[in-house]
Amino acid sequence: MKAYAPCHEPFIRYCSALAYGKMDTEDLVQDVLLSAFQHFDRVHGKDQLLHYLIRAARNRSISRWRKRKFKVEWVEKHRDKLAAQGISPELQLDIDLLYRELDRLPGHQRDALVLFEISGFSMKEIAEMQNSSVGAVKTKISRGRKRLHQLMQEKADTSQLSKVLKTIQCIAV
Amino acid sequence: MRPGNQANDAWEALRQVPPELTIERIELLVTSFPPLPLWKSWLHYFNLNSILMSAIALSIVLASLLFPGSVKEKDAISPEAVTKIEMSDALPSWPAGGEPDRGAVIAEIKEGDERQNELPNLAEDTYTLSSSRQGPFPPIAQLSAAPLSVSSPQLAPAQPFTLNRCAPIFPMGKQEIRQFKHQLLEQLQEDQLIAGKKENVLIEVPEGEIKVNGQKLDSALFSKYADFLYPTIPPCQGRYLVIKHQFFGVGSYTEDGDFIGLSIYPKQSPSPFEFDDFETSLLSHHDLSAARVGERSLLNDQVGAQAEGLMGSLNQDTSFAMASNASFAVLNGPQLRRLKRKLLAQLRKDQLINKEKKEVIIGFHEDRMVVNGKPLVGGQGAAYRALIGQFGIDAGPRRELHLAPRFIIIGDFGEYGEMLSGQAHGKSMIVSKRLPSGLYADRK
Repeated sequence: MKAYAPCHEPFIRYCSALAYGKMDTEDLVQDVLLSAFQHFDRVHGKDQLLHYLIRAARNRSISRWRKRKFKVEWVEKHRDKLAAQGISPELQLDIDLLYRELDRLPGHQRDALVLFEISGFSMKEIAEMQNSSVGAVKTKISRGRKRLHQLMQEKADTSQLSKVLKTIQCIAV
Repeated sequence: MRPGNQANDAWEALRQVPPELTIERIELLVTSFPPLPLWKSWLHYFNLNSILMSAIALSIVLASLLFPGSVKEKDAISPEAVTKIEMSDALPSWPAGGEPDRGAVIAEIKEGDERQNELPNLAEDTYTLSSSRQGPFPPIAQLSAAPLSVSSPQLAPAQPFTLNRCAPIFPMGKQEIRQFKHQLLEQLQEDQLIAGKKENVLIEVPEGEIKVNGQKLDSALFSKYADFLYPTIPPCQGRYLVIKHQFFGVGSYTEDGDFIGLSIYPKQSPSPFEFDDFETSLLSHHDLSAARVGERSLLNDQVGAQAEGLMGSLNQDTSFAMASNASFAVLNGPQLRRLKRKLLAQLRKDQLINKEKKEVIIGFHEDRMVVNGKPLVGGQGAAYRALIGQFGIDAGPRRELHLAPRFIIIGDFGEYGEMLSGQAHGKSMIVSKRLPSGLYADRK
């Protein structure tokens, strides 16, 4: 636990982001920690442990839950947790939308964005975790942000259009 | 609210909100884990590697002290004589009545890689080489010789590798294999059959033709490569030569789906010869990790008795057909790619898939057409039937087409997603008679 304590916050944030809408965060965390516990002799150093945990979490979510779609019951559970943590309903919707659109990004861009924006890793650390270069990570984050912005823009336009259509329908009736 | 602001607010909220699980909760989780076996935790304190290395060094020193070598001058064997003995031991056993001049053969080997075109007439004896690991490999049909273990790195094996009905592959030493591989890759690159020397290469050497990465060589190139390959690797139905970076293998598949031949792992094997399967080196590690079955390689399990091609994938485009199937023509790579393009274009036009959806399973049955689980209604089914039929493919009760960015697979699939027969073209695909294959391989 001593080795784990400094890794706790970024690791849990990352798992929460992976798990949103698809699974219970605690299940994922438990799975990963059990694996780390069993292979602890292979991990040397505090930095290595955090990287190991992040990679293990990503691999588990890829191998087991990659194809899972967002499920209403999980989304509601996560929203309840956010509400319990003091997030306003409006912000909850924004977070929900963010995660849904994040899910549509390519895996490596999504991963880099989550690690950078939510878990707070530096680009250098992300590059080490992903066996990549800092430049490549910068590109992934930049493209991920751009694409996310486009997706959210499309969503906003669609919802505005549907609102207008509904208004027209009401007027026509 | 503008999307940019929405995203920023959401990011900020997610950064600020406390972690979903507290560290106390984690402590509770960890205390519920089953304890590690005692031996494992005890073993953690020992560095096995350094213990082994020290023990080996000590035993070598002790052995040299206990058994000092003393060779009298008159008993000493001249280096030349030793070389002759070693070389003659390395020669294959000639059949009675056909033995060539030994002096001539020794001279041939001494010259190194300048192999003569005329090979001695070796008997079609069949041998089996036992694998260094005791795996559940079924016995190779019709083999009679006792297992021969090849362990000495200095001597070439006494017998060549062969299967029934095939002229044997001429045994090569480690250095000879390297030179052979280097020359072959240079030639392939020069003839623009490969882009670079680090590219994976699959060469099929049946009788009458040579294929390099699925591409049949024209007559000029065929004679060139036949001259180069045949002295060492005589043609035989089902014989393959596989080259990857750090790997070289040449051999054939048995009726049971095992591979027998010659392979070399320069960095992994202490001896230059090791009987082994065409193992995971042919599949990317990513594909293999989820699919390894016990001691046997995935590739072994994939090759059925009737396989006409190599099952699995290389890290580049490859096409193969699996089991002769009379109900549809075997298409080549360009044809399969054309079919895939046409199908995807039509599916997008009919809005059965959108731009994001890049994986499609089409059920091509006699009574219905299904796209990603949804039956097609009206004339749509007939249109797709006609489109696929243009390529000579008939419907079947289990027939499916799997379209993915990496590949196209057409075949008959079983209950669990295993591919019973068909053909495929692409990269990094799982094709197996025992495991979920194609797009089913991605689904957990």
